[in-house]
Amino acid sequence: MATKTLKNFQRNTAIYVHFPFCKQRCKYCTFLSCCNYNLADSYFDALCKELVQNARKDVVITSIFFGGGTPSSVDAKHLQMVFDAIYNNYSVAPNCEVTVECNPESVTQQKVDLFVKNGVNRVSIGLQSANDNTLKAIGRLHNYQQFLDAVNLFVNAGLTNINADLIIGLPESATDFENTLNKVVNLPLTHLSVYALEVYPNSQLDQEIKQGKLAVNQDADYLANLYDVALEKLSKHGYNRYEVSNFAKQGKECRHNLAYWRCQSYFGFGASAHGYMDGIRTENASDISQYVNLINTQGSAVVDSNLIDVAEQMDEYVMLGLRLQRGISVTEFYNRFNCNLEDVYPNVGKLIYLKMLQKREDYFTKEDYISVRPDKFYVLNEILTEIL
Amino acid sequence: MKNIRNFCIIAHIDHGKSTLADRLMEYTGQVAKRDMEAQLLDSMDIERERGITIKLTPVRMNYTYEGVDYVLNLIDTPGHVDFNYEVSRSLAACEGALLVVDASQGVEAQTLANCYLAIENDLEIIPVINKIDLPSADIDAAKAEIEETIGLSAEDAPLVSAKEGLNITDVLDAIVTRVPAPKTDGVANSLKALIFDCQYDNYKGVIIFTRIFEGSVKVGSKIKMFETKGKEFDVTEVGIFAPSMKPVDQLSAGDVGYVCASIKTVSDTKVGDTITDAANPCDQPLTGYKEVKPMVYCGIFPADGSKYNDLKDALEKLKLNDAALTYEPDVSVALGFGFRCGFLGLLHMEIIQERLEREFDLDLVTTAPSVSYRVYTTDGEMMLIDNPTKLPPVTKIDYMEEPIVAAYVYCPPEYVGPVMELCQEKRGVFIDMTYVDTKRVRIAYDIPLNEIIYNFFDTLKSRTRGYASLDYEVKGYVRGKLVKLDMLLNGEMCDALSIIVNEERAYARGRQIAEKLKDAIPRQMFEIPIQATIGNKVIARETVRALRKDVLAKCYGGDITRKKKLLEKQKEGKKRMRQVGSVSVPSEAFMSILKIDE
Repeated sequence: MATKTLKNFQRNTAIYVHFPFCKQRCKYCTFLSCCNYNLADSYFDALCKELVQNARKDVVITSIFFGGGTPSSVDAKHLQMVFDAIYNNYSVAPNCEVTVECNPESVTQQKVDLFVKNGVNRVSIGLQSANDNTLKAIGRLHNYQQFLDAVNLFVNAGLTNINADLIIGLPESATDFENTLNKVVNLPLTHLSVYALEVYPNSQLDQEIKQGKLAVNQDADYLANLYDVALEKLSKHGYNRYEVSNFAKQGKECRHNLAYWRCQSYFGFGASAHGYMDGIRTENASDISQYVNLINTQGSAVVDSNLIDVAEQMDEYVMLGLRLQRGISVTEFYNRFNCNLEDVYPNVGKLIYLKMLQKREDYFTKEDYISVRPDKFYVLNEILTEIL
Repeated sequence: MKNIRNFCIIAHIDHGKSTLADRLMEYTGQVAKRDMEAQLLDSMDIERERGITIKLTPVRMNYTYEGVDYVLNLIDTPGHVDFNYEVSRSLAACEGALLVVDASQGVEAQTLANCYLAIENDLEIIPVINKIDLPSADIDAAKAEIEETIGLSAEDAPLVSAKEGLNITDVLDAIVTRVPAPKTDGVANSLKALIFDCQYDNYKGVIIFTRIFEGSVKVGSKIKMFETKGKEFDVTEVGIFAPSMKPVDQLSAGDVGYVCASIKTVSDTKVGDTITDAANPCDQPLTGYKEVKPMVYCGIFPADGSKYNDLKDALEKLKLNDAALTYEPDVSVALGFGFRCGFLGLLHMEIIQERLEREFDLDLVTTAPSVSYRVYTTDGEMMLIDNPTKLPPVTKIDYMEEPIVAAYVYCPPEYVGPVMELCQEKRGVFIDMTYVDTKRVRIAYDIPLNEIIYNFFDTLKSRTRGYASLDYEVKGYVRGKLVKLDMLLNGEMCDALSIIVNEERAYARGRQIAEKLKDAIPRQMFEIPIQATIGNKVIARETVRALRKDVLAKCYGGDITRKKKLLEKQKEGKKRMRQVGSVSVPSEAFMSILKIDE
């Protein structure tokens, strides 16, 4: 049974590759990134080694995601190395989703051509705000016009799946945020990710706020109101909130992110990358030099690995699945874990009664789904603490 | 025995009792100067921090006067009104008392009360005028006041400064020459000793603090107590307070000391009881103490429900040397199993709560303090109710009575206005106002006790910038328009938040509590209406809006662990809360309503 279960969810596997380089670090960022491109040669050598060493032909790759950092800012030769290492060593499905994260200023015709040539069919562009003053204030290197130019380059190259990242709660007014929304809804985009700004202690942003150079409103209600504005506006323009922070036009949901939320397996390559293969969650070294060193000396940069037991798997399945508008499939849960969702989590019934969760049958698949009521996503974590 | 002197010290708070005691010990060589720690006898942290004495503490000193060696036993006593009963206990074990009077402030009401107690107990009283080093000291005025208000001659009163160590030997000499030696009723062979306090030690069992009136006791003696007839104990250790416990061969008539007899059950010893020989008991026990009646009640619950037994043990041990503390099991829907505890006053309540938390390392949730009401039912019965949840339904109540106290506020004349305003607000009835001297006024009011226990003292202090002091004694019961105020959270009554309150006050209190709860209860999955109700009538309403924060979660990419940790943390936080129906209420919410500024 266990092997069957494992195979089932490993059949569709994702690959995440981390590109820890940026021309300049955004003030709010806590992801691993570094501005010293001199490390790139040794880093991508190591990265390709890692890709080769983990090569498996028994899984089918259905999504590839280049994240960062800023993958689009990396030299063409390095990008090509990574593409080659993947395509030469993995069984990539013909319709595989291949996403590259970009920053507008680093999108050139040359890069776009390289991406298209290598099968990239989805790009995710960091816009954050359409307000040039805001962009400057948070340390972004581009303005709104550059974003438009980048979108044009991709559209002209035939890309039909373009995401833009937006941030709620930047040091700007509510009106500025609405302006951003008004602008992006009319662009040829198909997907929007909307996250709230988090001010991490000791980040540059944090320091500048403390010094009084920047002001942000972190009040949860204020932010929730902005989120509501986004929800309403985006819905009107054909965007469906398929996950708490992600909006997509029909059929343009991000397959790679769905893999995370549906507890599918994924490889995590590169410094600080997380992977989930064969029921084991792994974490790579988060320092570039350490990563390179570990790959070259030990053949693996994994610094932490945890076997996820069945109880944990079920918890994760619920925790991540309920982020989706669709919710969790009761049938799939049963097939995967061989027990009933509501037997394992007796509070589900109570939460349905309290009108926090809802249960409905999918018209096409005839499967029962348990999902968070659309107006209760605000208390998702509370609901989860009740269930788990 | 003729060389023993047993005495206590009576003084108002801040008049320097503990400092004088320190000095006496230092002068008799009981404690080397380098070991001197301010206020040595106040051994509890709380006592030192608050600068007050709560427990009486005995100490034995040796002093030579005109070539003769004397043993002086001092039994330190607390000064606050709440601890009156402790005073009466130490008085019963002494033949004399030092009456310490602050040279700049004169005789205070509380001093007077204790002084009368001492006179009733036939104690020889030696006035001592302290703080003569202060620039504001007025020795003649203090002397005159002692003679006028108490009727004692202050002519020979030692004039001292305990702080500066001035004229301390005068005090010691006066103790030797003026306090009578202990006397016994003829030649008595059998032991007769008064238990004036107890402590519990994990190794020795109950340690009895005792004053021997007749006979003697030593290791190996078989003893028994009058009230717990039948049980006999073998004495394992006897000793004196020097000032820490020091074993001696035997204690005989006149001595003050301690006795251990492997007594493991706390209830086997009762303060005020008489110890005697098991084989040859004396005929009559000593006169015990007046039973003290608690005036203020509150529910005490462990913050962690599984600590119920720890709380029970702790209360049992505190009760051992605090006869005034009463407790009985209580159960609350919101707070689970706990105890309904009775106290002598608010300070007593605070002290007990603090001791439970510090000495026994317990986390507590306490409910609003209540007084004991007389409830007359339609059946013609009278019930004493100190717990709002025990109040019979309104239809069964004919009428209710509440305790009234005679309250005396002392303050400088410029604060008379604010003080009277406060007393009036608290439903006080003005009795009179007298000038104690040009600098101090005594304002007498009759005030319902339930107003006193509700924020009176703090408000008084803040409105008079700390200059006013308060004394009160219970006067009796009067009929009052009292109602039960309940709080509903999301439609469910939370029993631990119910209070009995005067009808006129109910609206304001209901509104204040609702506001406090609104701030103290975290936002949750759904909107929580908070309602204050009397019967079926809603008199105040607040709303805790539903949470809206989870749409703002940051994406961690493939890093699931971080997300899991966050959820676990949130879950942990939730575990520490109490469930009232579907609402999670943090312990602080119950406490927050106890302090409401007006």
